[in-house]
Amino acid sequence: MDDRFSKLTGAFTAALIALLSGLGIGSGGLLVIWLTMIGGIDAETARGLNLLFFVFSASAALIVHLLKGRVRLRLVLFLSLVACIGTLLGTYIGSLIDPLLLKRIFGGMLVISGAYTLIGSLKNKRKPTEKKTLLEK
Amino acid sequence: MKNNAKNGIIALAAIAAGLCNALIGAGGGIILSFCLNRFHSNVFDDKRDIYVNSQASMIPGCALSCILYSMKGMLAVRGFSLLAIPAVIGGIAGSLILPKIKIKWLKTAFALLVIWSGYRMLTA
Repeated sequence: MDDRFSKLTGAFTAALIALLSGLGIGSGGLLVIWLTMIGGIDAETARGLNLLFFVFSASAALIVHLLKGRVRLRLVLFLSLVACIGTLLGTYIGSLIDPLLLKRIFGGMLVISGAYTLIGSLKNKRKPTEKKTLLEK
Repeated sequence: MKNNAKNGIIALAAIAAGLCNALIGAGGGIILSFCLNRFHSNVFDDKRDIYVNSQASMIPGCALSCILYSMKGMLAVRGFSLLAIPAVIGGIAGSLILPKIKIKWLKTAFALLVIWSGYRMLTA
């Protein structure tokens, strides 16, 4: 019973994380945290599962987005190709540099860029009010 | 900024996204979304499409990472059977509700997720 319950909870959590992928905002590695902390899986295995999970959820969402004409094929093909080069490069670099150091650098970059985006989106919320006031004048 | 410079930045962002996925196993789409939002947002009529396109661009890179992980024996496919169906259902559900979500909420959720991912990378 407990095993069935934990499987159901797991499937539900996974579906919620995949929902974020479907929205296009990604999962931010939430699955890695869930798999390591709740699932008791080691970080290395969880990272691989997170990538495979993303391929499944994003591909399913891509079919819907393609049908709705939201995908710019030329841009996506170009970015995919370049990202694949980056992936191969990353695999090579990973064997030369301490991945923990890179993780910290990327982490710092993400916190700064996230804060920047958050401030920007909060500022955008005020814009319509400002415009309305100007029009009213 | 000139278009060539913008395209160059986007290409660099795509390389960084691939690097991030290979090294950390997550966060590539975040880098790409951020740069498309900053430098290429005028290309998209609906700003939600920025997230859709950056996400779509990461699929082949992630699939390649999966192949490389499995070649190193680091991909536990057996454990994935429980996650595969929720992944597909959640992905489709998210793509269907996307048009109903306001862009400012999407941006705020994205920014919070980016900060959270960054914090996790700094502390994990």
